[in-house]
Amino acid sequence: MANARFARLYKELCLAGVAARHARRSSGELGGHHALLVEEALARGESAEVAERSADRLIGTEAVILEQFVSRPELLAFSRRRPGWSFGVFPAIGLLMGVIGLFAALCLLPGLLHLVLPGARIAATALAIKFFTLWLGPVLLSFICAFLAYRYRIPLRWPLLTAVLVCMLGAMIHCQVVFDASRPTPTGSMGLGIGFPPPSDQIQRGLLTLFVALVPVIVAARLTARVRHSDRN
Amino acid sequence: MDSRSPSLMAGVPELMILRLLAEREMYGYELAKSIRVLSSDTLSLGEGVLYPALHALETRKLLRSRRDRVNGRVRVYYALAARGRKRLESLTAEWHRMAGGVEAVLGSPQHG
Repeated sequence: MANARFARLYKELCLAGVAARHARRSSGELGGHHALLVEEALARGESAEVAERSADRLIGTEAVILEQFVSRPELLAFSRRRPGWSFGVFPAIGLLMGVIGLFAALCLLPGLLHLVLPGARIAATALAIKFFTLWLGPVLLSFICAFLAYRYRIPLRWPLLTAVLVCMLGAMIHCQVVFDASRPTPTGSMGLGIGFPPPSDQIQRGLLTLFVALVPVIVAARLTARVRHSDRN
Repeated sequence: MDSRSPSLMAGVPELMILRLLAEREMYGYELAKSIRVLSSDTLSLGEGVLYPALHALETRKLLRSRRDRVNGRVRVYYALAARGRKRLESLTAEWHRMAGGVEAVLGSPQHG
C-alpha cells in the first residue's frame, strides 16, 4: 500500500514539474522512511494497522510534500524553469546541428564509396537530407517536446511553438549535393533562408510538415486533459 | 514546522538540518528522528517535507550526498559541504540575533 502511495507521489511530482531525478529519489527515500517508521511503531507494540497509520501521519500528506517541492524552483525540471530555451532555442539549434551533422556524414560517405566504387552515384544523399530536415527532424523534435510538456505539465503553447518553429526552419533549409564523376569527392552546398520571389513554396512545405508534427502535440493535449479531469474527480 | 507562523519559522528547517549534519552524516529518517527527539516533539513537522529541503540544499551545494544499500533498500546519506558550514554559521548568528531581539521584547516591562 505504501509502495503504491509513493509510486503515485513520484508521478504527481513529475506532473507538477519537479525534475524526474528529484521525484524518483524522493519517492524512494520516502518509501524507506515510511518502512522504518512502521518498524519503529511495531517495535513499540502497536498493531500493523495502527503502525501504518502513525507512519502515514508522521510522513505528512502528499499535498504538503508536493507543495514543498513545487515552491523550490531549483527542484523543478529545466523545461519547466526555462521553457523558452527548452522549447524554442534548443530544438532550433538541435535541428540545425542535426542537419549539419547529417550533411557532413553523407557527403563523407559517398566520398568513401567513390574511392571503392569509382563513378558510383549516391543520389539518395540529397534526398536523405531533405527527408531529415523536412520530416524526421521536425516531427521527432515536436514529439520530444510534446512528451516533455505532458510529463511536466507545461502549457501546450510551448510544444506548439516548437512544432511551428522547427517545421518552418526545416522548410527554410536548403541543401544540394552535386556528384561529379570527374571529381574524387562530391561537392555540396547548404544554406538557410527564405527564397525569393515570395516564399510560398517554403511555407507550403512547412505547413505540410506541421500537419504531421502537430499529431504528438494533440496527443499530449488529450493526455493532459485526461489527467486534469481525473485530478478534479 | 508550525504552519501557523510561517514567516517566523522560515529558514528554521534549513538551520536545523545544517546544524544536525554538522555533527555527522545522516539519512532522512535519522535526521527526522533526531529533530523529533531533540525538540521533544515540539517541532512536529511532516517528516516528508525534509526531503525537498534536503534536495534543495544539495542543489545549492550546501550538502553532499552518497548512496548506500542497507537491507535491500537504498539509503541516501547527507553530509555538510564546506559551503554549508559557512551558511550554518551565518544562519546561527542570524537566529541568535533574532531570538535575542524577541527575548528582549518579551523580558521588558510593559509600556502604557
